[in-house]
Amino acid sequence: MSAPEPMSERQCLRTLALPEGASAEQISQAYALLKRIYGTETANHVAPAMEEFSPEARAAVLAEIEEAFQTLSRGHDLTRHLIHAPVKPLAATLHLEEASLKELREALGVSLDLVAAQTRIRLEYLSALEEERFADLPLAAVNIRGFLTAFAKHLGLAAEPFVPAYMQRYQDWRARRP
Amino acid sequence: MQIWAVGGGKGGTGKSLVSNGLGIRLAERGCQVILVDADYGGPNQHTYCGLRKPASTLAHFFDRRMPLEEIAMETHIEGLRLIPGNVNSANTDNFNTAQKQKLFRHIKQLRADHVILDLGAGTQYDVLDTFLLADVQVGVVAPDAMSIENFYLFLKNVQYRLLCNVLSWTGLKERAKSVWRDRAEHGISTSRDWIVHLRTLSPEFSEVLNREHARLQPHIVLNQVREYRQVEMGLAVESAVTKLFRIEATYAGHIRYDTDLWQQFGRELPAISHGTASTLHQDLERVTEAILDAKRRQEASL
Repeated sequence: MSAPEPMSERQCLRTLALPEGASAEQISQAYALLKRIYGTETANHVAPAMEEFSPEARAAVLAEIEEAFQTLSRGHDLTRHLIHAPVKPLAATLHLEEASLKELREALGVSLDLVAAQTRIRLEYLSALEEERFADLPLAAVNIRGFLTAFAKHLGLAAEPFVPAYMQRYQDWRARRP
Repeated sequence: MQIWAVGGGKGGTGKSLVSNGLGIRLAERGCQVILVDADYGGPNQHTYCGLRKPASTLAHFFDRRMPLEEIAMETHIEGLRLIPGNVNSANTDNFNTAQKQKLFRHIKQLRADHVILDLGAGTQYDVLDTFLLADVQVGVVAPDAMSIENFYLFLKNVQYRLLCNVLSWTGLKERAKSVWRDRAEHGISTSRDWIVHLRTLSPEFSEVLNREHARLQPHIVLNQVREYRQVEMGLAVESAVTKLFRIEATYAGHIRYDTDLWQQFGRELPAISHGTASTLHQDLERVTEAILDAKRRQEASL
C-alpha cells in the first residue's frame, strides 16, 4: 500500500478553518485555538458521553490539525515564529506614542466587540476613545484615563508611554475647544 | 421569500429572544417580516412583541381554517407582523404532524420577504423537519455544558431525521433496516459504517443524501454571554460541529447577557426594540449581519 497523500495547502488551511492567503499569525493563532478546543476534555464545549467526541475521534482531529500546521510550517518557518514571536512585535511596526489605539488594536487582531465584552465599557465609548473623537465622549478626564487604561491593559499594552501621550492629545484638544 | 427557523434543542437558551431580535433587525432594514410562534408548547412571542391579547392565533388556523394572512397581526415595529401561538387552550402542544405540515405549506405562501419560525425546545419530528426545510437555519446555544450537549444532540437528531427522509424517498427504508439488523454479517459497528454500506447499495441514495446534507448549514448564535472567555465557546462549537458531525456550520457571533431585559417585559412595547445603545441591539445587529453575510456566501458557492 502506498503512503497516504500529503495534505495540500488548501486542505491544511481548511483544517485550521482559515481562508486562503491566511497570514503566519493567523495560522499560529488558529492552531493554538484548535489545540485548546480538542486538547482539553474537561472543556465545557466537549460532550464526552457522545460517540462523536470519543477519545479516538478527538485524537484523529488533533492529528489532522498537527499535520496541517506542520505542513504549513515547512514552507513558511512558522514553528520559529510560534516559539519566538507569539504576538506580533508591535514596537517594530508602530510607534506607541504616535499610533492610535485603533491601529494598535487592529494590529493585534482584537475585535472591539471583545474589548467591550471584557472591559464592560460601552462600545460607542470604546469606538470614540480609539478614534479620538473626544467630542463624543461625555466623560470627565479621570474617567477617560480609567477607560483608556482598561482598554490598553486588555490589549496587553503597558500604560507607559501610551496613556500619557494619549492624555496629552486629549488635554490639547480641550485647550483648543472654544 | 426566505424562511428562517430558530431552534437548538434546549429550552431557555433564548430562541424566542433571538427570533424576535432577528425579526426586528430585518424589519428595520425595510424588509417585510412575519414572525411565527411555532413554539406550540410555550408560546410567548406576543409578550416579546409587547402585545397583550392576540385576537387570533395559530389555533384559529388549525381549528377554524383561518388564513394565516388574517391571523398575522401588526406589531409596534413597522414591517414586522406576528402570527401568535395558541395562548388560550390547555392542550396547545397537541396539533398533529399532518396539521403542522399543512402549516408549513401555508407559510410558504405568505406575502413577506422573511418569515421567522420560533421553534420550541426538544427534538420532535416536526421541529426537526421544519428546521431541515428552512432556508436559513439558526441554532441558539448558551455557553454552558448542558446547553451545548443538547445542541449537539439536536443536530444529531436533525441528521438522523434527514437520513430517514432520504431513505424513504429513495425506497431504501426496509433494506436499510435489515442491513442494520444483520450488521454483524456486514461488518458494520457504527452508524457511519452503516451509511457507507448503504451508499454502496444505491448511488441514487448516496447522491440524494449528499445533496440534502449540503443544505444543512446551521448558523450558530451564542446567547447569554457573561464573560469574555465564553466567546471562544462559540468558535469551539462551530469547529466541533464541522469536524465531528461533518455539518457545515458557521458561527454568527455572540449576544451578551442583558441584566436589565426582564424589566422591559409586560409593557406595551417590544422588549428589545428601544434604546439603540443597549448591548442587545448592537449584538443582534451584528449577528443578523453575520447570518445574512454567511447566507450570501453559501448561495454564491452553490
